Amino acid sequence: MADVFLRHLRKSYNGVNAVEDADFHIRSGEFFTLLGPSGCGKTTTLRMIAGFAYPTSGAILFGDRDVTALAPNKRDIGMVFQNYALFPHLTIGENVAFGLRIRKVSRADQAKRVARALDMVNLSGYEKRRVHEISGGQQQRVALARALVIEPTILLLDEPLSNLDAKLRDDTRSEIKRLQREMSITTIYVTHDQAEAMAVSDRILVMRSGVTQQLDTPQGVYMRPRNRFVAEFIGKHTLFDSKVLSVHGDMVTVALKDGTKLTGYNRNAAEGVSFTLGASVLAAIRPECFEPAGDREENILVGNVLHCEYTGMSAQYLVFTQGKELRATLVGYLPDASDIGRPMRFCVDTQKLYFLPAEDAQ
Amino acid sequence: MTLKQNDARVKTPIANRPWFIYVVLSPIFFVLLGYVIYPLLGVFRDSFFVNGSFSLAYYKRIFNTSGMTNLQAIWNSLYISVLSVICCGIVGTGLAFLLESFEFPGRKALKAFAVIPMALPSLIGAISFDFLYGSTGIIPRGLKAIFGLSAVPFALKGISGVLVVHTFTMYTYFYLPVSAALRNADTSLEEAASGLGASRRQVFGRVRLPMLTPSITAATMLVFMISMASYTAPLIYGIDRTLTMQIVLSRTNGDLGMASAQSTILAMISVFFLVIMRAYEGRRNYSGVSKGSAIHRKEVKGRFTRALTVAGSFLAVLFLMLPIFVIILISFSANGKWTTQVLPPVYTLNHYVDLFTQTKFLLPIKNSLIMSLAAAAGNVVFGVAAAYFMSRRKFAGRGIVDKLIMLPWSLPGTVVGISLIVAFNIPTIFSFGQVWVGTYYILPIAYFVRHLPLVYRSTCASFAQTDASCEEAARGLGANWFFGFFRVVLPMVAGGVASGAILGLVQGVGEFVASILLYTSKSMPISVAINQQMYSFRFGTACAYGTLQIALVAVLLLISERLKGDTASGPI
Repeated sequence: MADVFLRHLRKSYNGVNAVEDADFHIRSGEFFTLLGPSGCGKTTTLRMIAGFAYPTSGAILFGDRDVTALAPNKRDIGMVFQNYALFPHLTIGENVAFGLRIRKVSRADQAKRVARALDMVNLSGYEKRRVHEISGGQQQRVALARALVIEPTILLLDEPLSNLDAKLRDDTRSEIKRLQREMSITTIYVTHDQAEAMAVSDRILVMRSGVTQQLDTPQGVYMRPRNRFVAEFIGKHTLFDSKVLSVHGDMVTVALKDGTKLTGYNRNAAEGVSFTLGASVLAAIRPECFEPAGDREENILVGNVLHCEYTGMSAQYLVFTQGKELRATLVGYLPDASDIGRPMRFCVDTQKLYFLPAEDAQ
Repeated sequence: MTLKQNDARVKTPIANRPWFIYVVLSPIFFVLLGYVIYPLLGVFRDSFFVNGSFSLAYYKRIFNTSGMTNLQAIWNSLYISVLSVICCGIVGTGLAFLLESFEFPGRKALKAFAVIPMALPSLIGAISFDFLYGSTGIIPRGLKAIFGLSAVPFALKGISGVLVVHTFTMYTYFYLPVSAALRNADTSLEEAASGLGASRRQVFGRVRLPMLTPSITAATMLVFMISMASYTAPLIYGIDRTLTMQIVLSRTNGDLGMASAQSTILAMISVFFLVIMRAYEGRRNYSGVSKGSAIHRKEVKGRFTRALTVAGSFLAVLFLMLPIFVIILISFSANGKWTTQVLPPVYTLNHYVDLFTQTKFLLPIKNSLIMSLAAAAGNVVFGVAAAYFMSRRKFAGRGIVDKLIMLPWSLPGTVVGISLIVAFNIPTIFSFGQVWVGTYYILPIAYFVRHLPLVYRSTCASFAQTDASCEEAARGLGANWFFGFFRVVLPMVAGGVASGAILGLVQGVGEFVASILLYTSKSMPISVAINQQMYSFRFGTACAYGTLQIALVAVLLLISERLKGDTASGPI
């Protein structure tokens, strides 16, 4: 268990920065996730922490130990790979015992700890099996047991669920979270799946093109994105250009391009938003920010219904408005098949309207 | 964390600096430079220098229209190769279609024996055909005796002999890829075509044949290259005017410059076809485009036709096995007693006794084994190292390294032999300041160079099938590089290494073409011994050696099969 410090970490390949100025602190015992689309530098960052890649500049510290240029085998890490990387020429038991063997643990102790680790991932008695004899989900759990049995300082997980099918993914996800909590081991998790990240993380670092976008709790990145990228990638916000029309106390009213007026609270705004009259801001709306309009007149957005799916719990609309497509989820609402192709009124919840600075619209 | 550290570049461990890979690779570059590039450049250079001054004299002599010997040799080599391709194509493709499209009694046996010619060392193949079908051969004489003819009804000689031997030994280069393509072909594609209204002929011409073209084209190039390089068959059938024969003759006459010029021409033709083949390989490959139901073989019906197929299969298997039978038979015949009879009249075990008791006879066996093993060991070290770095590390120049490793394999053994003579008949740093020509060392080196890509390729294939992150996983679990490499990386590719090494041994035990150019009395291998015994008409001794060679190859191939079955991950 240890704190991990990344200090102004930069990695460039042939002059192109894969990771730029990554500078953050992962707290001891924390479940920390690196989240971003493929090619955003999250795996490179993880590989630098593991020691499979070396930063161009900057430093990595485990506690007060500088490990920046340390070989991976001297870092005392446990890593789980996307494709599990189990050794096909060894049995399950031998795979799990591999790290113990290198650490010169006695044979008797090895067997005991391997059995315990396999029990932990619900694979008791699988010691003698071969890698190709067990399923993908079981392989992933063996990889987890192999990483945890050496009681590493830090657990690193590189997209560990991406090769599993949806059902197994959810189960394994909670399994990983449970083990992490029980062992309270510092864990760094890499994924491109925002729902996965939200579900397991204590804190999430959102990355894009090697640059840190936001470091926050799941609620933070979801409810209060710092910029357009995080807003669209995490909360599935739809963003509209707008101008500040009036400010009354903590209430702000903005006008969209076609004159539609929307009102929200000035506290629901990212850093850098200026609510001076006539200023440009981005109005951000998540799908669940809508309510059925009924006969209300305020905060109404009108759009053409392109498509509607009824899931029982909610009705999910795909609406065309202000020149773009928008998703709106109405909980507990019974849609009408004849809605499709017609204009429909949606009410935006004043409490949930969010504002982003307009400069961010690159 | 107020201190900005951006400017301080991290001192990465030496092993991870960009230039370090080239330090590690330097032995590989040294081998390629010393035993591939330098010898070949030597041949090229020598072909342009007469007595130390630049001259085109050799090429003028080759293309001199009044002498004709060399032009005829080029012409013969080319047209033997073209005819070999046609014959091999017809036999190999035909057999593949026969065995993959029809179900008949005897099919399995025929299928099992169809690859026998591959295991036959080249010299044994050519000699056995002469024993069987030559003008004094068993079959023509047998027919003459049975039917009371005044002369033998047919006999293989000259170019027709070369062609038959080529067809027998090389049709598998068509048969194997075509039957694999047929087996893997997706019949649903053909069903789709007929569903769209295509007639049976159209299905064949528009769907099935185009799917086969990649394998047929690759086989065409391969057979052409091997025929151009063929030395053994022209030697046995006395076709002096082929390029390979001329090269050896020039060398025997001490005209190394002329041999170099002829080698340059032959090498260029080979490389030209190699380039075409590889370009084509990359562009058209349909295997694995779609997975569908396997081909459905049509059952042969009717008692008469079924009986006919049994008889046909039996004859075909017999034909495939006869070369081996005849070598074994003659290995028991007394030397000098077989004159005009159909079969050898007197039999003895003496040849085998001699082989294993007299040092003079034992030496070639020992030589072949030791030299092949030494070369294979070298190939394993080189091949594993090269395959590891080529598969697992990125560095500039990978493409060139790959092509250089493949180059000696595509060159005729004659050219490799001449290039090593040119390179090492003077002291060089690559031969550690020694003259290697005329010593024992030159032959293992030649085997090593000729079989350079065997372990490399099979190991690369294994690497491609294994997960690169396993090595990282081992490192992450605390293993240092050596432990990770020897306990994780190497065991995972062991199957590929072993099959490549065994193939190298098979080739080494049967090697003849480069050996005949480079051997000394101390390093004479089995094939050269066979050739000498044949020249002094000691057929029995020659065939005893041949039987031993076949047995060695068979044992090696059995081991290879066994290994393939054992490794769970499956090497190639």
